Amino acid sequence: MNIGHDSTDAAKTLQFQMPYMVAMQSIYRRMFVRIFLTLPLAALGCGQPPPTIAPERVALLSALADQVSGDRAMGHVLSLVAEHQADTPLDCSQWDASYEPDCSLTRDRSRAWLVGRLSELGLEVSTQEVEDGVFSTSNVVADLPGTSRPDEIVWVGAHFDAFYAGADDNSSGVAALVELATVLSGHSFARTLRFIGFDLEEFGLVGSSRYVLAEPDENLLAGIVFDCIAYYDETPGSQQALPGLQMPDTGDFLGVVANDDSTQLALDVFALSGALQTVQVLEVVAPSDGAYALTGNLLRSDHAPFWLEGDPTLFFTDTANFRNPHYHTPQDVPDTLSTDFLEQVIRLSVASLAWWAEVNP
Amino acid sequence: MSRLRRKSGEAPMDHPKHVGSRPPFIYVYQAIIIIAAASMLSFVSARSASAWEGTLEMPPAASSAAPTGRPIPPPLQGPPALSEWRLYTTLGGALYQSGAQTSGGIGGGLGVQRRLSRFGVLEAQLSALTLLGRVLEARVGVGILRPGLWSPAILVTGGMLLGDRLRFIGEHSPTLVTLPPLSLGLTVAPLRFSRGRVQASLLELGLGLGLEAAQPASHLHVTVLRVGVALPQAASPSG
Repeated sequence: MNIGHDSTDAAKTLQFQMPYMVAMQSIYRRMFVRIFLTLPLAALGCGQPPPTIAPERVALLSALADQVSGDRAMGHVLSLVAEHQADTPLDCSQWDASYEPDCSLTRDRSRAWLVGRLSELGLEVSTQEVEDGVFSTSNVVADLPGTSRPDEIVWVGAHFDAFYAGADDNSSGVAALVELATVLSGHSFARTLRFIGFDLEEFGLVGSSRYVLAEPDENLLAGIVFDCIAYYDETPGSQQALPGLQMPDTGDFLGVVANDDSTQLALDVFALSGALQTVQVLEVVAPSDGAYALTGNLLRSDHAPFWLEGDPTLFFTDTANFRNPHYHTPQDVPDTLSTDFLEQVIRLSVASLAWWAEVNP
Repeated sequence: MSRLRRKSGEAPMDHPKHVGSRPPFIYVYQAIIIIAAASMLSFVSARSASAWEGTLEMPPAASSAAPTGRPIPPPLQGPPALSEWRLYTTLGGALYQSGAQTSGGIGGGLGVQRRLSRFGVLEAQLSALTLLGRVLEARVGVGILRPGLWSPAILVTGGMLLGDRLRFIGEHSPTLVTLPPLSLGLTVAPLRFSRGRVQASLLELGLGLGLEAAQPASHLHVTVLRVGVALPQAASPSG
């Protein structure tokens, strides 16, 4: 893993100490090198390859991933859907509910279910509350403290609010969160592993935005956000491309969305997907924090506030409405989902988190 | 997953660094204002240079052909001779796309043109683009241009995009491309007109092939409007 920051910080300090002219000469030299020495290499298609993972580490991560159960995860999806269906939607008369699904949004029972499952696993569970009338939020946070570097946090999150039954969006993500906690809580890690349930994502990433604003100084080394991760369709034409992106026309891959800050994480995930033979992955790396006119579709989940804060975070998705015709409709039910695909996504996630958090042998 | 905001097309985000503080289209407005201002300056500069018909092939001032036996008139106080250099501004866009990366946007830029011969022309241009981040597009072209009022041109162009871009890692592009998009192609300017110091052009189209060994790549460049003005010739050392 390439998460250390010491060398970068030292370089920045040194740069600030350089006299102005020396700094300018350095810039010109870099420009010259970039333009006249590296450009010919472009014609050869040079790029940064994914990291090579030692076979013994692959075996260790593979053994962890093999503990994932797709059936158990799908059982979580069924439980969550039942909770959403039994819940009372938020009172949509309190805001301009011009978007039809707004009046079907539920969250209270799914949050209680999530707190219950994480507590049963022996994790340190807390909630992060913000009072704001109908838009009050209560994020769920569960920690598995690291053994040697507990202040360095590797985290995974999913939002637990949903329109209608919300099987794919986002019971699949919350189910994956709980399955990850189930598998990983049986092991120890050098770094702290954190499991986060975000509130009110569907109203504008409210819970995740409040999370990053409340905890600006946390050392978040790596993170994954799940949102819609269980819809799979191999039929040609089942996948629409996001505007401006080239994509296969079959919905049989996991979309991994990264930005410049999380490039190394994306390369790690790609390497692990190959080493563990999990799921086909298509990764998109957005420029800087991704907040540009044509990249809005890449910011549509809880990873976006973390990008704006400069925290390296990946977004795992089946691409939602670009693949799933039941997106934000009453037809988003468990029968439309793929247990095998969900299992493979969770296997890849287990390996990635264990890799970043440094699982103790 | 959240839906896009229906009016602005932005991602919904209740975060102070995004909502209200940095609407992405502000960059487009900035680019358009800069280009419009530059274009107006070009026109104003051209009009203020009086109504003389300056061309790159201006005849020398009346001199040696004066008939014998008649007084030689004083030399005409004409406009300064024009150099072979022309400065221009552009408004347009570009899109570079391959299986490994996408870059481009819309915006405007500045360029210089140099006449190499009666027909030959060399151009270099730098544009600032937005929509997909902050991108600088550098283009260099060499080609031929028809002299006269209607002066269409065709050029072989090399292009490079620096700055933000989308990059992809997947089955067909297993490494993260690190070097900027480069291309080689042709640009045609069928609606280019020159009169006096001013040159204007509409709808120039460039199509290039990306220089990526492993990926088929295309580079489309469209110039909606281009306005240029010839630079006055520098005085010779002898006066």
